[in-house]
Amino acid sequence: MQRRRTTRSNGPSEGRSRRGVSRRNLLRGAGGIAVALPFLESMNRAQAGGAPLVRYLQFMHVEGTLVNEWAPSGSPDQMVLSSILSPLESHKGDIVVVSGLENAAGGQFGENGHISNGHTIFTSARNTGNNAMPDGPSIDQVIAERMAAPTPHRSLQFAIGGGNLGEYQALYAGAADPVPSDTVPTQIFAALFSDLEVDPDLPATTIQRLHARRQSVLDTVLGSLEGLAPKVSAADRITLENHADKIRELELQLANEGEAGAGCTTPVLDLPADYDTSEYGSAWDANRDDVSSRVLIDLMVMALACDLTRVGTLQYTNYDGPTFPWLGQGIPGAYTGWHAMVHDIPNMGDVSVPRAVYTWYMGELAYLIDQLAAMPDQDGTLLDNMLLYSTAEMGDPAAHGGWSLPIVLAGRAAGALETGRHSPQDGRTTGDLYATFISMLGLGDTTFGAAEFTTGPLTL
Amino acid sequence: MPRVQFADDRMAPRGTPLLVFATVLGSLTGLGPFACYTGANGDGAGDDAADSADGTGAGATDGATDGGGSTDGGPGAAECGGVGSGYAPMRRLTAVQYRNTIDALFGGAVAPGDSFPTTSIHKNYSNNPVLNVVSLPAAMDLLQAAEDVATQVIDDVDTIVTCPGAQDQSCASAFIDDFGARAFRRPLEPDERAALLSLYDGASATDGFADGIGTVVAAVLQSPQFLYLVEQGGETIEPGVVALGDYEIATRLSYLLWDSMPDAALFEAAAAGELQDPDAIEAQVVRMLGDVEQSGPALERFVREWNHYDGVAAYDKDAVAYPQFTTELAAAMDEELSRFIRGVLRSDEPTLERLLTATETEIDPQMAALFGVPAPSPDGWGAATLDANRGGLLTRPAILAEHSHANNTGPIFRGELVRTQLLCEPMPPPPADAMANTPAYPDGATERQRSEILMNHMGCGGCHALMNPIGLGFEDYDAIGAWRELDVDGGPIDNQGEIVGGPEAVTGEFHGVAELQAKLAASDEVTACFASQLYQYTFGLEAAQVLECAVEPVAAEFVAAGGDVRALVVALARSNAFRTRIVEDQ
Repeated sequence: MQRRRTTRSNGPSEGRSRRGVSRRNLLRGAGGIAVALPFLESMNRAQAGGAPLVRYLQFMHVEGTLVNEWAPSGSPDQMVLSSILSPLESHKGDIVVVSGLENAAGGQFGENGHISNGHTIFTSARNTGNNAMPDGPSIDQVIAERMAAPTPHRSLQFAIGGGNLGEYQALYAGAADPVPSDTVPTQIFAALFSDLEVDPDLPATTIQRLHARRQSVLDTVLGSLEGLAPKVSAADRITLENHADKIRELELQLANEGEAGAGCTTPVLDLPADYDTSEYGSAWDANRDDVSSRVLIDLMVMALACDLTRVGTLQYTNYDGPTFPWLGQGIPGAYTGWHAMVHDIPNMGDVSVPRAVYTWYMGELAYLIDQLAAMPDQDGTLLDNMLLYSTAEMGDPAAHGGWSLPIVLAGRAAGALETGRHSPQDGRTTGDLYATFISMLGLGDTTFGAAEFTTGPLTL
Repeated sequence: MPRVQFADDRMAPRGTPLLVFATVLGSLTGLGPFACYTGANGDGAGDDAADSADGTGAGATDGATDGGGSTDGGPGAAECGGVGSGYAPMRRLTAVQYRNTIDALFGGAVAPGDSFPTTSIHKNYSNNPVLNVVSLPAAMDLLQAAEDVATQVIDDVDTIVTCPGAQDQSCASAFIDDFGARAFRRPLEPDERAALLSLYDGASATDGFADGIGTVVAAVLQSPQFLYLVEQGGETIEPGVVALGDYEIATRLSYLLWDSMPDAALFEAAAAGELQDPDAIEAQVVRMLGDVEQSGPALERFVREWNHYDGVAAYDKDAVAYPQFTTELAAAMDEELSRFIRGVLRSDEPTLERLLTATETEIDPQMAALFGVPAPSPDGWGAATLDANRGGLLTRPAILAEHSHANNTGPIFRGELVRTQLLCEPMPPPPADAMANTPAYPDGATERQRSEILMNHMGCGGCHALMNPIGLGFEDYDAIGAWRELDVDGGPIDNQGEIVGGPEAVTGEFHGVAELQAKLAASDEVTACFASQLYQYTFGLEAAQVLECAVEPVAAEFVAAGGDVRALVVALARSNAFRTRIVEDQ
């Protein structure tokens, strides 16, 4: 499969030399504060005996997989990848394939198969609020909160194929507290990179000037909140005080500079001419997912390399309408759509078409791993210093069932994950897996989600 | 400033005899006898039922002030009395209100920021503050939305800010006074003006006038005075109750009737101190209702939220079972719902009865095909009169599709809609172990057979008997709201339904939704319930937070007016509850 890049980078060496030669190119935090580059310090972190920076990234594809043929064969230590997993062959030593896990919360959520699985895949939580929202946070948000990394963004979440998530609103900061996702590459670029490296010889743009004044604007907002709080009733005061707390958190977050690694440089968006970057344009068109997927992967990798965040999510959102034109497979064929096709998989004699789609998602995962492995970071690569978790929102697409999830872990989590294996985990749950993540990342007590859906960490 | 006698107002609400609906008001305020199950399950549902059963509950304070979403039992009569004031938590602008307000603030010259946080709906209405708290991501979204608007202001400052002379501090100061007062919906306090002017000075010193103005805009649009409907009130009229100021009344009116900020006429009336007078308020309401471009969508949003309707996307339905349910048909259903609601509310008879029975609507060829009638126009929308089986809100395909499963009908959802939204009898959420203990259903069972099994399974029948028998009366309509002749087992549809318990006038069996709606429409209790729903919508309340003595005069007037929705809005706006608020521990 041809791997086409949709962003160009100036390359690690060029980026380094540009910034090494002169202090004229300043790295700006999202708070607009120009800072001297922390490059040397971060390179020396490991040598100085500091703990390595570890990142967490999750990757969610949709409509499950072919559960009967997806898992590797061979012994756990000598796994033979299936056809669907074959794009990962060159990274076989970098991954752990986890089979047999179930998202037990999905079957108990009381909504349709997409909402039930989509709203619980990362939360392992119940739905008792009568609002189709889970009762607890998603694993990425728990990790982000516990890491409390000094980065400009606590977490970043990019939706491939459209941002109005609805059924696939998978991320929550807390009970019934959905975390929004970003979708349009140009908007993401502007929000993350528009003032990463500011050339002092060029006049600042309007948004760069506004970003530079965020602290004073937020101070004014904070002053209003603090001034108003004593004048309202007790419950309203709690609302305003909570709001003020979030403004203070935001100020701290925006003042963070992160510790940009050697590979950090401002990416250059290189979108096809017919890619419409307006709201509800091509980024919402699942039939452009081949482009959107690559560009959002590139932006996420660079955001990690620049330490704009240490926690990210990449998720595909359209399970219904894509025809995957770049695969040339003739979807929907005799069906009304891709979604209708997967419901009928048990009755299909020839599953080569769904197999091609599921294999394509693994190709995108392989592309992501390629980029992480190529990105210098600390004393190795980004891939060495991260935990990458890939799953679909469900296992069995025909039944929309939460069992037999197609899970791949990648990266060495700075030495905490031993890769190159197949780890069968029949009978265990996503709650157990997320407890394992918390343990692996050294983030405190290791329970996660609703108690009835977990029995504790796995041995991977 | 004129002061009205609130107590007199309440005792003689516009000359209408005070009607007392003991059972209605009991259920309006969450005191109904529907403790359909008890038992602790950790989410408060069992407590709810137990509290409301004895009518004492945890009291008004908990119900109204617990920001964590307590739905503890309704307050008893002891907590109200006096002028009949009510609770009004601080509401954050909904996403719709934000967009309308930005449009009004800048006269359409700038686009609202895309990243304003999504509004979550808790307990019916989108302005309920419980879910719409500011999280860290929401704070970031608010910042970016404000910067989005500020960028447009900076780049187009010459047309957005008119300076009589130079673009200098004097012009900026005038802008701050004018823009600030409209954004905060009242004149600025001196310290507010000083803070914004200081922000202007800092930004303009380095980057000029436009940046100074834009920076002020960015701050104003994130300020609590803009984002929240803050009601501090003024004169204390009885212990724990304050009269609202004129600007606060203007703001209540504009967000109720227009989902937007007050216009110049409302600001002028507020500045002149006219809005303490119920007659002046009524004149404003009549004027504002007459602006159907603004009042139409706002009242329609209420009707949609009242019906728990949030839109049905094509992907909500099983594409194999319903291949015809495309994005285009889903959009047409949504549009038909709009046209139906607006048609009734703009007509000479804008009554609850007509909302529940009218057969006049507008349809396009897609909807004509769904209804099985000729299209009034080959390529657009036109008026149509349907038969009685397609009268009223509860037979709109959009509503029926919303209250259905992906691939079958939903008697539970449909019955719950009637029980909670039309009878005002709240249902507790299922016990925590309910979904883990669902019964086994035979393959191919009809919904009627499944309901029989469910209602005889463990303790499920206690609550489901209040929902499923009503919902089974909707079986003529499939999961996308289309009419069907045959059930899933190939037999004819049985459309017998039954309301168990509830107001006497509606209790008993019925056949089909047309008969159900006729029964509901004729009920004073259902009419009073509608008034309570509008009251909850106005103040962002849950049912359990509605005080009997606050809503009772409004409901009584609505019943006396034959269920005329415009009369209801007038009665609500004139009511003591609308012009006051209960103040707790300041």
